[in-house]
Amino acid sequence: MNSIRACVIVFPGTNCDRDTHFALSKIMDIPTDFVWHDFDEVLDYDIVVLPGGFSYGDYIRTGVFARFSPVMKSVEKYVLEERGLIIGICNGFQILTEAGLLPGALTRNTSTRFICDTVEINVENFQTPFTRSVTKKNLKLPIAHSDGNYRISEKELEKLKAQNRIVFRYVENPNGSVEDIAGVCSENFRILGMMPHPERAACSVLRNTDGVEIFKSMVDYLRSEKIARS
Amino acid sequence: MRFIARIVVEPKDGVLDPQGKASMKVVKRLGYEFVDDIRVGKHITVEIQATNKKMAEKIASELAYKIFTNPVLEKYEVSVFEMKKAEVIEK
Amino acid sequence: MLDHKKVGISDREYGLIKQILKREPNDIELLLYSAMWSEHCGYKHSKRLLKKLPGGSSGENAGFVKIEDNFIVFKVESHNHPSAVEPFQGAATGIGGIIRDIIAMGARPIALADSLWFGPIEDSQSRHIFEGVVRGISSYGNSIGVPTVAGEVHFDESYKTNPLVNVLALGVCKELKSAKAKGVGNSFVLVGSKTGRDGIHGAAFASRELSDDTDSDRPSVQVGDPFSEKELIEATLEIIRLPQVIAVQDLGAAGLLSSTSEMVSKGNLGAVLYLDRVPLREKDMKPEEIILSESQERMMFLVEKGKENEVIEIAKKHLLDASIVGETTADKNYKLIWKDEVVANVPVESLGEAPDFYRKVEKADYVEKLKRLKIPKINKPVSEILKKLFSSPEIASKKWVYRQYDHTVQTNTVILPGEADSAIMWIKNSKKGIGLTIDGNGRYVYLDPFEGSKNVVFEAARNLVATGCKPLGITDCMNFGNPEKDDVFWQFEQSILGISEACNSLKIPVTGGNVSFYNESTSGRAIYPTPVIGMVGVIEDVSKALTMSFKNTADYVYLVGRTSIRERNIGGSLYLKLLENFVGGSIDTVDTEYELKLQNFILKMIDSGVLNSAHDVSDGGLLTSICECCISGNKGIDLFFTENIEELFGEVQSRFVITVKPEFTEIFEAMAKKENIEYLHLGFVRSDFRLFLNDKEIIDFGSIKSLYDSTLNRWMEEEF
Repeated sequence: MNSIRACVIVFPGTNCDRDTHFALSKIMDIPTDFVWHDFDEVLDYDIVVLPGGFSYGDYIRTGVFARFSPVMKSVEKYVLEERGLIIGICNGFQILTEAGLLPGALTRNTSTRFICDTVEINVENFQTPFTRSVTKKNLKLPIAHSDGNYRISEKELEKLKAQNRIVFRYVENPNGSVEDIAGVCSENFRILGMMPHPERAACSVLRNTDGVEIFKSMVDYLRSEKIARS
Repeated sequence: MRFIARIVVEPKDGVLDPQGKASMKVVKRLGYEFVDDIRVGKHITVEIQATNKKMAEKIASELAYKIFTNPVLEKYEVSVFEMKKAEVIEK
Repeated sequence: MLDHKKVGISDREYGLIKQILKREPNDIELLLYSAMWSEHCGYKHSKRLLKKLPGGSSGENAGFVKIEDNFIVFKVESHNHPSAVEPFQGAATGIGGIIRDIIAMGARPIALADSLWFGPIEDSQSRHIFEGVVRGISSYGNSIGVPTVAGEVHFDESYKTNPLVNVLALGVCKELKSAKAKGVGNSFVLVGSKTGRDGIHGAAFASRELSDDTDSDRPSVQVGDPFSEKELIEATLEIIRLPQVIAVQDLGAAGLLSSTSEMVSKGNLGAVLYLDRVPLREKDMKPEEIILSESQERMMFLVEKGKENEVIEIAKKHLLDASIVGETTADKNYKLIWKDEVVANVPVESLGEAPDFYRKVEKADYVEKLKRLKIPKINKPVSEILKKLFSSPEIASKKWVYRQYDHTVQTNTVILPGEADSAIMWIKNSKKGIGLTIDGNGRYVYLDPFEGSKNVVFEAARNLVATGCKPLGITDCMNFGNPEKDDVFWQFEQSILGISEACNSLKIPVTGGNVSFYNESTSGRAIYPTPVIGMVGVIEDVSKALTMSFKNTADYVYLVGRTSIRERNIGGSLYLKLLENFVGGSIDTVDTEYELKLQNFILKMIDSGVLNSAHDVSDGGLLTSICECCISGNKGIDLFFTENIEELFGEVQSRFVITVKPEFTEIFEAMAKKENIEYLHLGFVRSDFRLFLNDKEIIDFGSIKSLYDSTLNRWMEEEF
């Protein structure tokens, strides 16, 4: 069996790196490295996580400074070469949209306040590498953000819908996102961006393990892909 | 008459500007060696009806001081222009 | 020459300085004493009394308790005056400061808690301060990735122009770092943000009554930079692992001065600092501005000479400034050099030896007068009183507040805000959890400073016990008026004695804390004396953590502990304040032996799995507590109890509301009898959301819940 390896990218100001690392390595049993933002070599991993936090303090605009970090060049190569899966969570989602790897933008919540809560999201597409093993119709996941209000041009939205790339929708919209969008993926379904935090719902001690379903899907997908390739 | 007031609010000299400071770090890293300082503020545009420019300036300055500026931390500049007829009608 | 009185040095103190130096001080030296001998740094009025607290302070940045091989480091600090002047930045920098106390001990911060006291919510200025403080905590705490997991918010006339912003931080580590300097010739390496003219003389500022014109206080306000703080946390935790790092101290009040002078004082050494080597943010800063600056997000490391580079490299990696600014010396003097010239040279110990202003004072007269006031009788239907209580911001849900705080980051939060009387943080890679609560009650302490302060400590302990945690230690934040006034000083002394007695009987230490004096309104009226207690405890198995919500229909509801009110000792009760604006009478007191027995009993019952819920009975009395359990669990109750208003809403000590599964009631009652614990079977949990009292429907919980949920939102999100 080919073993799956993951990395968690750490930008200055990232603060969910250790949580994500814990979920992947201790709960999912995936060997996981931290990768510092100035890493500019080949990302030799099956899973790349852009975790949540406040990269560069979220100053000026969320994600904008992180997008210029050297590691993002490596991420772009990783995407072009279709090396593995990328998941951007919260601030990671914001960075992916700033970098143009996912469409749309995330702006201030309509309440203008930071929101920390647990929300329900509907899985809109069960065929993606991130949702194929999800067993529930909707997942309960924590959110914690000021800028989770997803905006996208009408044209691009139509394209997202036509290609079935809206992966998650909020059951009750907390932040004003267009069409209740909580997570979207790239055209080739190998990059997912989502505002809710699956890594915060990965451990039975914290009385919620819905997030595991997403990580498990990724592992299942990568395993089957490896088998197919070998 | 209608006027446009442009209010620029910036951190006061000597007050820490975390956004400007973080911007500097990234800008330097991207190789812009000749950038010496960055201050991050905000820009507010206000439309005002007034009998003359002086009055519009007075109103804009008051708004700038009372609402848009935190006098503990920020300073402001106001510039007022008369709106052209065409602009007024468009609205 | 500076006039010493203008910088807060009395004639008597000036005489002392001359004796110490055997000459006149120069201006810079005078400013050094002014800062270090301010109330904020020098604890002039409090230091003798603070020694009476048990388990005394470690003399380090923060105290600790141990859970197996983990050091649990925690401390509470006030940022009252800065928050009155600039609520957002005042609260934000309060978080920054207390976090640096924790990292200076070598611990990674894992939780924040805050105790906030504002003027009436009906007052627009109070709402403005409330809004700013919550945003400040939210902005700073969320950004640095430390969850805010517990807290309390109060509104009372007493805090109208003088809000209290007390923040507690808690961290965990396997090895402690010291602030004690060792060895001659080692280097002081300053790491973090550049130094500007922020909060020059803030230490003195914090120790002064707020003048009418807050505008004139404004230049002292510091701005927080959470991004730099986050990097400073990571850099510090990395730097302290280097073997060449001898000591570490954060820069707080009186900046460079207090950090370096305290480090060498502890090590019986002296220091020389080269002020022109401090990285500056502003041009033309004077040496006294550099030494006293309170610019945020800075730490001081003492590093073996010649091995500083690794420290500087780590700082750079985290985008922080770092430079060698001085060294330790053998001569026990504190010497400042500016452009090759000695600008100050004083015996370092003298800086930490502010004069003792303790004095014996008489009992305050007001206490007996208030005690004699007759407790008003209230003739209103129970449903009406409930509506009044649940639409007051004191009782109403604080979700509007904690929804703005990230309380789940770091993935340790087992009990979320609002679910129980205290938070529980999981210690990863173990079964154990840390319980955390923060609590105060200004009315009780005002009416009876000694007994009231005891009550506050025991109530904090009950908060922990109700979730299954055994208390381990406290940190205290003493918020009082002007100590130069006799009544205030008496309140302070009594309060310290009360806390001390309560901690002695609980056999837990006061590991550290903070004193904030001069909390007065613009008219010179002191706030209610408000000691705030942060308490930490342990639960052996986090899977047994208990919340307050009623869970299963037909569960038995019991009142455990004092089953009836005692001789109308219900002075200070919240319902009297809210309905009659009455603050008077006698407060109930804790029978220590009984209280301890009760707490142990509840802990035992939780551990053995007999209970389905537990809630400490406090603000609003018995019926309020029951309603909170119902609302939290979306259940109702069939209650069989007296309809006497005092019994339903009066506040007495030593009580819990619990539920027991029907099959365990026999065991529960037998155990209680065996241990001599009073209990009263109050009734049963109902499946529907309704309150029945002696078979009469009192109210549909839907109406109370909507008040409970909407009150803060209504005040803060709708226009007034």
